[in-house]
Amino acid sequence: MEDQIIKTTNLMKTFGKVTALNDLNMQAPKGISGFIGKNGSGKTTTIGILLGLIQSNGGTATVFGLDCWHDSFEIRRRMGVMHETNVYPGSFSGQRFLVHVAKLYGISQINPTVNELLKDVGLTYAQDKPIKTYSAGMFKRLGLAQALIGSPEMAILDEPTANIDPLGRITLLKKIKDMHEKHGTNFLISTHILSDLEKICNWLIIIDQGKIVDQGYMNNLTEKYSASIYKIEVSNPQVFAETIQKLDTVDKVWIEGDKVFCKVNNPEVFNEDIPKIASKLKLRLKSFQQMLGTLEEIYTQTVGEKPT
Amino acid sequence: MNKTNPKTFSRLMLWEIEGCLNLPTLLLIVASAIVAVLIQSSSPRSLSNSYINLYDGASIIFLILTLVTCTLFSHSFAGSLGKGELKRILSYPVKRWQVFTSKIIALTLIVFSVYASAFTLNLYLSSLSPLEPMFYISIFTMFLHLLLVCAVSVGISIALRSELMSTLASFLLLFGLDMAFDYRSYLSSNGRFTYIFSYFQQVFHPNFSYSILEPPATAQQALISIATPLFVVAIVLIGVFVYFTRKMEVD
Repeated sequence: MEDQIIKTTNLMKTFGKVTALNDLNMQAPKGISGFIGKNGSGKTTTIGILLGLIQSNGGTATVFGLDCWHDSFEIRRRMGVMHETNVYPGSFSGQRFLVHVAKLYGISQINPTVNELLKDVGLTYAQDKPIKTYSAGMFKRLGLAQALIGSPEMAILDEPTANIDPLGRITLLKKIKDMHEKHGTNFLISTHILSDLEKICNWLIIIDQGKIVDQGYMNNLTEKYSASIYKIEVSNPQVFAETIQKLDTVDKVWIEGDKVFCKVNNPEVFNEDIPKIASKLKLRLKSFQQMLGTLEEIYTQTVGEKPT
Repeated sequence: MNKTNPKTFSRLMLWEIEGCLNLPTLLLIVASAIVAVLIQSSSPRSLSNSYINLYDGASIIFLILTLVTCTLFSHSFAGSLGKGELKRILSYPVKRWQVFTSKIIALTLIVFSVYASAFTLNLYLSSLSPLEPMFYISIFTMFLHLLLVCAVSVGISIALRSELMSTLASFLLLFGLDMAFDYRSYLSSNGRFTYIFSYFQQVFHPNFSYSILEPPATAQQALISIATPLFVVAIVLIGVFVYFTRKMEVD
């Protein structure tokens, strides 16, 4: 695949006897990539390896084609990072802190850059207040500002919208999208809030137990996973579910309210079978439709449970 | 590629100093230094022998200096590792050696400056001349002790990665050494100071009427007392530096 910014091949990482990453093959092209998985699935370890903070036990990891451990300085020079934990010098004002960070990146026009970023993330009103007085949402905004300082080629954001009120989340997501559209900044966003990713991501990576269970462009994944889920409304859902469960074309059946859901492995045959079965059971088939895949459904199918 | 910004090191150092100069931390260092100097036990002596008060009060200064230095270095290394601050700093375009050395130099400079300044109170308290050489010998020994405490607490901080545990472990180790070995041992801060002070007392005050050590320390003993902490500092800091810059994982 062309234009891949992040690529890992058979990446391994163990902490003592615990295997954190197990032959991880991950790719992220240009654009906004979502990185999802359960707690402890290996997301933060992967990010640590990409930043050169953690050394892998095997395999390769590259960002911009550079080795993540040996060339980590060059990678970090071209990348902004927002970690999940927000530890900033509490006695500094937000502006003073960003000026320090801007100097580390060697930015020439420091004050205009910092002021613009503060305005973009909506922190201008608190720029002179000590960071220790900031709320959780303000910490996140500050974190995003320091990750975007100097318009990096790529920014890795770990849980950027956690603990932020709905309006703040919308603003942050809009800022991320704007940065990508206006400056071409690429993003890798690790989060549990799937609805946030749905709004902005074009590429999705799903990790579970240290392995990539699936990855690809959002529309492809949506198509791939939605095609196999059906929602059926019949007059007697219980009887209908018990019957279709026995079909070879059906992998899984469940009932939600008065609707029957099923995952099938051969949609073409299943499409023909359903009306026949309903007729045979003398049930009224009220509706019968393929589900439009949401990110939550994709996640549920690949990882096997709701996101935590 | 891999070209580092030449000003990064000084910026990191200023950052560390600025962090230390905040009121609670600065207050801790300054107050501890003044208290350490003021509560030292001194006996009434003749003007010609008043410099010996510097020796009498050293043990309490070393004790408080050990406690404060262990706390500061553990906070800066183990604390920032445990809380995720180091992870954030190392995610910026900085070299690991820059972070490591800037922290050590900045903290050592601050603690030494404050303690050396507070130590000058002794000039007034003991009616000493600013040119009294034993005053500067005492400051030099204090600096050696500071380096030793710095190396030990940085090493333990990196190993334990817990601020509280490393503060306790490094303080108890150094305090324990001082308790376990008497004033004639190179392993205790008092022992090293005694040898150094005794030797230079002969050099600068050859007609002394009161010796702190009988027989007075030889040049070799004084040299070993200087070399011992320097050797430990070099070994520990080089080891920790190599580990910090080449192997350490920040998760």
